[in-house]
Amino acid sequence: MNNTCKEYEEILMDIYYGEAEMSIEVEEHLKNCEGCMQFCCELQEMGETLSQPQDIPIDYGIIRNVMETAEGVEAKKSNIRELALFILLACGLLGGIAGLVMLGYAKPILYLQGILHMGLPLTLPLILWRRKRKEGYNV
Amino acid sequence: MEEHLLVKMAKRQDKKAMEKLLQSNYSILKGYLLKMTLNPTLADDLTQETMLKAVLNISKYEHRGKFSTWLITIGTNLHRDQLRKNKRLVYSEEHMELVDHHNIEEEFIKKIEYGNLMKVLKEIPEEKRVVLILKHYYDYSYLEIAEILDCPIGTIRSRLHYAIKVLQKTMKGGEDIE
Repeated sequence: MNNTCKEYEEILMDIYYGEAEMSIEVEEHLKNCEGCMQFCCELQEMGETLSQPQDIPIDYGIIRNVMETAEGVEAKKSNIRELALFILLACGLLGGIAGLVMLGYAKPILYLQGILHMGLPLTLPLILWRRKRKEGYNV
Repeated sequence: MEEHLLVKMAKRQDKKAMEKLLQSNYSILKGYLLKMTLNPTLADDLTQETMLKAVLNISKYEHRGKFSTWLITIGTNLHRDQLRKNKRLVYSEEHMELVDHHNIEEEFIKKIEYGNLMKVLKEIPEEKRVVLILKHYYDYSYLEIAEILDCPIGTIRSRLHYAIKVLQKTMKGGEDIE
């Protein structure tokens, strides 16, 4: 087989798969070249052999598995993000407090802490009372 | 529901839309991986991994072409990664599964034909087989295949030509293939 036929084989393959159109030149060559005509017929046969139907039923179990796994992965990612954010905020807050202490504001910070720790729980009955009023309970 | 609507909803974390997308493209993806790997167990694993990767990275899907094309690209890359890790891929005839048919004879013939088809495809080197599968079974253009496999159109064309030559040689010489 000469080089020209090799080129025609590739063109015939392109034509078979719809990547090119049959030209007059190719048609003329096919009329005169047994080898290329044979190649053309073999392409058709090959196509029929390959195109055997294969039914693939949908496996809903696998898809459910995938969705559950993906949910688990997303939940882990979310937890890691939240932990990272918490660490960042905590470091920022502690860093801020440490800075204030170094600037000499340790006493005010301690007094503030004391007020918050002792004062806030005392406001709890008030918060509960207001909540109960809002939700319509008899106090 | 149209695919592009489902994709939009899936990108907004709508799980039902994502499930529908996977269900409607399952057969295409599994069929492709089955023909590419020639190993039903490996094809199952790859199908699952591909779908998982698609779900986790749905926000990166760019709406270029069909959703199945994106899945096929992911599947191809995963398979390539596995080959790079030198995993042994074994063609196993015993584990082939078929759809339940009432006609036992038909089922038997289909099993033989399917087995022969797999044997024929097995003769073709993997990188050429992928091109043949994408062209013959999924009717992708050379350009689309070049994008999926990330190589030039000329390479795709020559790989397809090579695959066809191997197939024709196998069909001429193989007694099992009828």
